[in-house]
Amino acid sequence: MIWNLAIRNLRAHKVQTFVVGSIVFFGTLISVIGAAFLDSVSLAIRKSITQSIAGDIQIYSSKKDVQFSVFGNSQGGDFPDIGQIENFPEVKRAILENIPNVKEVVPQGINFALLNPNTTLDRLLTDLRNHPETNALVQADTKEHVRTLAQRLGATYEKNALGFLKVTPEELITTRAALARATSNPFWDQFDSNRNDSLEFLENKIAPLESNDAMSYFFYVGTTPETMMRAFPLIEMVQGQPIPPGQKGFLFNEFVYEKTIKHKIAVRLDAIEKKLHTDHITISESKELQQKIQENVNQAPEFASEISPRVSRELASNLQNFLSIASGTTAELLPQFFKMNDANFATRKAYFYKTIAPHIVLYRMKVGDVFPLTAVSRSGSPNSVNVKLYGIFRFKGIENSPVSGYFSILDILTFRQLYGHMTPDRKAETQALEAEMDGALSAFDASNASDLFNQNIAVTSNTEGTNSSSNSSSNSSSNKDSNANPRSNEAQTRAKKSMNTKDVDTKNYTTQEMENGVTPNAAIILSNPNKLDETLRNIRKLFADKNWMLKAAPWIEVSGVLGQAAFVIKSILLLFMTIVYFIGIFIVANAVLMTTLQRTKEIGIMRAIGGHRSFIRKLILSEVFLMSTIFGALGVSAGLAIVTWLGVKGIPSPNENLEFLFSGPRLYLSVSASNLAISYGVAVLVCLGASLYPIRKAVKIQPITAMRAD
Amino acid sequence: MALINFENVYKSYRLDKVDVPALRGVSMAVENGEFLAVAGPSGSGKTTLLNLIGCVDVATSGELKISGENTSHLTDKQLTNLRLNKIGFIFQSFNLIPVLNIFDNVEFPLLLQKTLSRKERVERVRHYVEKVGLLEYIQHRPSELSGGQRQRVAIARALVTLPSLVLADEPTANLDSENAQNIIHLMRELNRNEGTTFVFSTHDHRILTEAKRIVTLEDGRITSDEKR
Amino acid sequence: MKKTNNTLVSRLASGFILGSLLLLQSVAHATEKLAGLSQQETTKILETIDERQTNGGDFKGVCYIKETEKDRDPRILQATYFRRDKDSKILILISRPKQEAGKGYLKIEKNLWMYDPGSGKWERRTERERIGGTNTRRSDLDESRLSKDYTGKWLSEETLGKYTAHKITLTAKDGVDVAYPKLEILVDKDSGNTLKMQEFSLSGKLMRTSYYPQWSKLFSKSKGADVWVPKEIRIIDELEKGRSTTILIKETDFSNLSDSIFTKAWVEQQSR
Repeated sequence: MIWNLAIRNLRAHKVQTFVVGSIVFFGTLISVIGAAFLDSVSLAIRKSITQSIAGDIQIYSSKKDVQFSVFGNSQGGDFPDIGQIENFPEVKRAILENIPNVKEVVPQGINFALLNPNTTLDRLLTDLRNHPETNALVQADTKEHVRTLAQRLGATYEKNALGFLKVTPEELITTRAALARATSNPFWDQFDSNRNDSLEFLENKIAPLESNDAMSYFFYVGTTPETMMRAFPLIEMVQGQPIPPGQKGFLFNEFVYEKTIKHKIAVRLDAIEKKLHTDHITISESKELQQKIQENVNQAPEFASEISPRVSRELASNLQNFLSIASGTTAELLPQFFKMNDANFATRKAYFYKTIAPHIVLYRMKVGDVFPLTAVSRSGSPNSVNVKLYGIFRFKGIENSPVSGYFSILDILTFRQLYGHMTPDRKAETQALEAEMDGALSAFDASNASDLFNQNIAVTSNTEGTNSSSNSSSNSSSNKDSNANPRSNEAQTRAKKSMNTKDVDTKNYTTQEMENGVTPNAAIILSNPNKLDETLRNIRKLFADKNWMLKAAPWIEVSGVLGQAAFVIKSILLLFMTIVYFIGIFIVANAVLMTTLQRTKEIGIMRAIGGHRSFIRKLILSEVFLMSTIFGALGVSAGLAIVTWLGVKGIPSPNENLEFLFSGPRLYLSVSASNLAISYGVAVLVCLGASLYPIRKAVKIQPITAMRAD
Repeated sequence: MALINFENVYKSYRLDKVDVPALRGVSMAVENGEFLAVAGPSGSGKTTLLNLIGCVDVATSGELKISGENTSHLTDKQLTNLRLNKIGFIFQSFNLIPVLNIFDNVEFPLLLQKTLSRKERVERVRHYVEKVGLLEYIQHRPSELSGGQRQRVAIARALVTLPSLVLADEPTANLDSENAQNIIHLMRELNRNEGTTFVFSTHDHRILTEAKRIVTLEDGRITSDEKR
Repeated sequence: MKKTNNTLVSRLASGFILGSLLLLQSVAHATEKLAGLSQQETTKILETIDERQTNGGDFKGVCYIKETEKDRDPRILQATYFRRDKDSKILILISRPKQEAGKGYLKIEKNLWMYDPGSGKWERRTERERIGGTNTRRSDLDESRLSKDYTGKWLSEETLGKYTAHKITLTAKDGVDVAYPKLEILVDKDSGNTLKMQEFSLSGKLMRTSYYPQWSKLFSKSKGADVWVPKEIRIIDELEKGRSTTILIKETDFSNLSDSIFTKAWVEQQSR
């Protein structure tokens, strides 16, 4: 009967029903969509992290008390020394044999590489230095290029010396003289016969005049490439090939390759094209794109000097045709060429890549090249090793993310060479050196430095060092010394030749050989990621049983800022939902209260006739319950419908940086059944809770109010 | 034992910081089965008297006993139960539940009681609705009926629980002669056959004629108590 | 009578003027003395420092560089260094430990090149390069160029334990690229040696403090005079607490070096 009455009441009091109903409807709708976002973003972040580099679980030494993050700490730059997993092969085997749910164990080590900027002159001079055997015509081109560059540098120098560049008068004279020499016929005539000296002159006097880009860097994961690619399915080859099993090699991440290794002008053109296509804007509308175009125009003169003079001459007529301009050198035409707009962008970009790019260094390293990888070792000194670039890869779906984008892949053997871990041998050597030093040092104490001045500072005279002025006796200590005579020149040339074949190690290594060595950390991939907690427990137990000083951490704890971001986003969304609910409670309570007060007489009648307080209570609760369940169901259904539609269509990421959170350029929403149920349940409970106050008021209504006249 | 016993009952209302006395020391007793009319000019306290008996209000001082029980000692639950089971109230302004139709309105108290089966309820409701002559309107809403018709529905509702005491505040006020007569007859019948006690507050001389005892109230005091 | 009076007055007047001038001059002279060293004198001090550490010809030496850091094992390098102050060339060739052996830093005038035998490639470096990853800068092992690269200003006279020192502040000259653009040194009045050097960044932040607990004074035939070479240098890192570098210089040799030493080809050959 109550239901009957309740239903009748709801239909009669349409305003109340509508107001409360709408609140419940929109409340549940928002709640469902919010839950969907929560679910989806959490999943997306998890995927971005676990399927790119981190894996589901990371293991590393527990000896060092440092906070380890796969992506580096504090803005992705800092990789503290985390020690190593001792006897990795045994650990790997133990885990694979004893822990269920483990699919792969991938050894890893993370470090970062330095990319020293390379000027055109440096490149050309290195070429001349290292390849004296190249065909004379090619050499002539290179020499002409150097000479032309020197000319250009001279002009710029004059301009700058008068302007912002501070030079002493002596310097001005010497530099001018050097430039004059470098562009003179006598110099180039004697170049071949005095190759070394001429090169030293150019390298030290002329090359420094060319301006430099800043140093850049990128990260790499040292690993067994085969296992890594198998364990991380998001890795997809874009160019070249994966590192052949058992070989040393390097794979560049497309992100860093296209943004840092590629020529800056090309990078800008790529970026412009991308923005035009994905954001559907035009150059004329966008200040950002116009700025990029202007940067290209500004760089055009520098760019012109990167092209060798011979090619420049050949290109001139082609450019003239293309631009429909009657005359002009390449250097003159290029600024105009780069002044692109919406009408000509597509054709000019195509022309750039087809006709101009082949004559410049488009990518500093090309697939198949052997290049020096420079990294900062544990001891702080930079180490270089030559490594072969086998190919370019990307992380499917999150290829635009700068978080994973800066990570490239290196074989773990080369990684170890660059890592510079303190081996027992090295430690012994260090101790020997220390002993040698200590014998000769003073008693200086850095913590009490000024104490030094309370004594006489020791001065040794003539007890050390030879003082002879003859060459031979002093030169005996450096037996590889060579005099400046023609025969030694030959030796030097020979030395240079063999240096060119200082290639990479092409030996084939077994997995065992690769895994047996310094391994800072390892990623564990699970067959069923949902059982992470259980598997984690099992692994920790295994470590405890075997008495290994190892730590196992879930992905969220080793993702540094990102893992925290995941947590923060969850909290924010929850907070948002709570606020929505609070507002909801408030409005619902008010609406119900108002109607209740409006029905004072009616309630009075019911009381007067014999309705107990409990009856009134039940009646109002039923009304609220009906409203909330019905409209809640509608809200949940509508929410589900929207989520499903968005789940197919996808929400575009507003920012490339957010793609990591979206696990791709679009976020595909989904919501779990439990979240749906929770949204619904909470909505109903919230409404019932909201009605408590109005009910309190309602039961206080006295029967006598029924007696009052209408 | 008297069904209703007033002993020096005072009732005042507070209106804007002024105490307005409605009843000033009323003492009287009503026995089971009486057919009693309370007369008096408006403002004399008739409605207040009925309200007190009906347990929708409480005396300021003095004792009011229903079936020997002092109403001021009863809990809200007990009072409500009294109103539900023992007392039938016919209000001055009919007070039907607007969202329910006639049938549901009359059925309402029975549902609160929860003692009868559906079949029995239907029978009882139809019986009384018929008795007040509104069977053909049984599915209609109160808004669709005239004032007099609504009055009759209220009466049916008051009687449907077979109360031992019926309090009627101007029950025939809006009825035409024919209907008024029918109602009065119905009540007299119930009084005769079932022994239902009736207490009216009325000006209607037709009721006064039928009444076996007339208590007159003036300014909150009983000025006469006539038995016929 | 009048004539005599005039002459007397004029004599008195000129005497008075002369006297005041002399007085002023002596006062000025005295104040100048109180104000410490003049610009000229300060520059002379710097030039002396430079000159005492310069050899007319070449240098060669063996040095140990030890770097200690909080919570880490110490790192030690042994290197041979070659200097030709006349041409402003220096080569630092690392010989031990094995992992670092063969790496070289070659400075030719303003160009600093680094060689890594691991790749067989040369890379251009800046003045701010840390030698072998330690806090040692090229300038620590190279010729002293205080008067050439900096402008000095005398600040005060200070007592440091047993020593009385000139406190001089140095600012890098325009257009000169140095690791530390601002310096503050304490120079021993008696010996003219640097007792303590503090190096600041452009913003005035103290980066390093260096002490010289031991010196070598060696006679150079080519110079015909003594050459002062710091035997021990202690560099305290002011940014990272607990980090300090010790440089020990031994076996200093002034004999002439072959020209080819200061070439890339020679360095490359050393690691074959």
